[in-house]
Amino acid sequence: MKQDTPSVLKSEIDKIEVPQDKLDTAIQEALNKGKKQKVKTPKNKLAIYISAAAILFFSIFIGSAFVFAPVGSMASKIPYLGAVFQSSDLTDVIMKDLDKKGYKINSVSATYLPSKEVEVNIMGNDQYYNAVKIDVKKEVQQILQAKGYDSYSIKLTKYKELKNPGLTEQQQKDKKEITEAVSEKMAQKKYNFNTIEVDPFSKEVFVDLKGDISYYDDHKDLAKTAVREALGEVDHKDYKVNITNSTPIIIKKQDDIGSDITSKIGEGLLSKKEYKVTEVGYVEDPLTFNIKTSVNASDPSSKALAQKIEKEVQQLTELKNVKEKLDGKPYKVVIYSKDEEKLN
Amino acid sequence: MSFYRKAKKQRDEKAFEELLEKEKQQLYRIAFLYVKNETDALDIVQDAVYKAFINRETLIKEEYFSTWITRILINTALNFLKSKKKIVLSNEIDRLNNAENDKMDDRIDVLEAVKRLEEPYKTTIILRFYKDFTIKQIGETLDCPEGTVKTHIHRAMQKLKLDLGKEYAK
Repeated sequence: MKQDTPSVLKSEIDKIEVPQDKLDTAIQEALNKGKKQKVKTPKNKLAIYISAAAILFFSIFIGSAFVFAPVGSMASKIPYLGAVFQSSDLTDVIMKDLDKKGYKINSVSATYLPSKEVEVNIMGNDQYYNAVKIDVKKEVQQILQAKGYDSYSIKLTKYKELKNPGLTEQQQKDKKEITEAVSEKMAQKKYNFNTIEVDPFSKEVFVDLKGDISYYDDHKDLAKTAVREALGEVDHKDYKVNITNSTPIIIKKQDDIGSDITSKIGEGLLSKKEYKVTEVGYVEDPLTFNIKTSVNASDPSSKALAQKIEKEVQQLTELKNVKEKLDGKPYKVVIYSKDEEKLN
Repeated sequence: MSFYRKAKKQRDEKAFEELLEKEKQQLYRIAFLYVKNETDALDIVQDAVYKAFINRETLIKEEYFSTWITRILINTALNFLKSKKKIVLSNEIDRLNNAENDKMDDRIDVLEAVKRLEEPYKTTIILRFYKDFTIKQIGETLDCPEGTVKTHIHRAMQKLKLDLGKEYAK
């Protein structure tokens, strides 16, 4: 019997019935909640929304034009950025359309990795969800068809109010205490940050630094030390410290040609490894597009890369509608190496 | 968040979901062994998945996913039981009543015996024989030396034997 128990045990445990649907719902809720983790402060929310819009946008472009194009012919399909510029935001179109038709929609998102999928998150209770899901799906299908996109699958999900993660009183107290201590310390040291997250379950602190990658690189160790200090002061040295950086690259202003063009340059160049671009920014006056790459200035290929990037941007600005927007305004393109040297 | 990182994040999320898909049933069953009811088991899975998801960067290699998430689940379940014990007294009464009923029940099987095991024996047995953890992995999960794990396994087996004796003697 001693030998038998393990195998009996295994098969016995496997006989425990699993409520498949409920389990899937529970897991989906957990994932949704996890995905929303970072979106806490209103400021951050806006920023994430914008970068999300950017990726959705790009997904369409990739889906419709480039995935099926042979790699060799890519270079000849110019202007690359021009094509990005002229596409429009699919998720926006879907969201607006469903909204207009009166459906209660929480969010629409599109992903292109690893598979192309449009996900519509529907608000309301089970009955509502079941009542409208077929119609919503049809509606989305029609939009996709109208746009000529045949590569997306459509996924409908139900919006769930998030439950309190079930912290005990002690955990809530710890969380509050640590958050306060850490934010105080960060303010005291004048480090810029977006959010501070404390997870009493895994005993971890997440601090999201505000600023570009170089700010992050310069400050991550300092910040870590500061957070550790703060933890020591409140007797929570057992917490692990994580310093992250999720500051978006582009904050869009309205009616701003620089921002309009920059966002497209960003989407286009950042999404293709060959350009080795890490950041895209712009200065309004005089209009300058700053593009940072991950190559070192000493790298023999750096000059050629800079030329390639410059050419892409130039081709974009020669497009009719971009030209109109620029209205003869002169602009400069500056490409930087990883070590901040000008490459062009 | 940079555009590139966003794409990486989406890939990570998808990979996580795929790995989870393979584990979810086992996770639920383990949770069930601890709390013995569907609602709480679902809550525990949900909680554990959430915790695992937001800490997914702490997972170094995909191969360790199963071990890693099982640990999180078990810790969640144990915490849950701890907090519940303090709050709901009537549960304890129920449990005692059930224990009495169990005794009268002839149909004592392995599963029931495992459910009745106390900590850390229950966790040790589940990890060793259901999840096939090594002694070392169990030690890491429960934060105790390997020697202790071996003792736990031995004692747990003794208890099971005692409990199942009647049944298996037949």
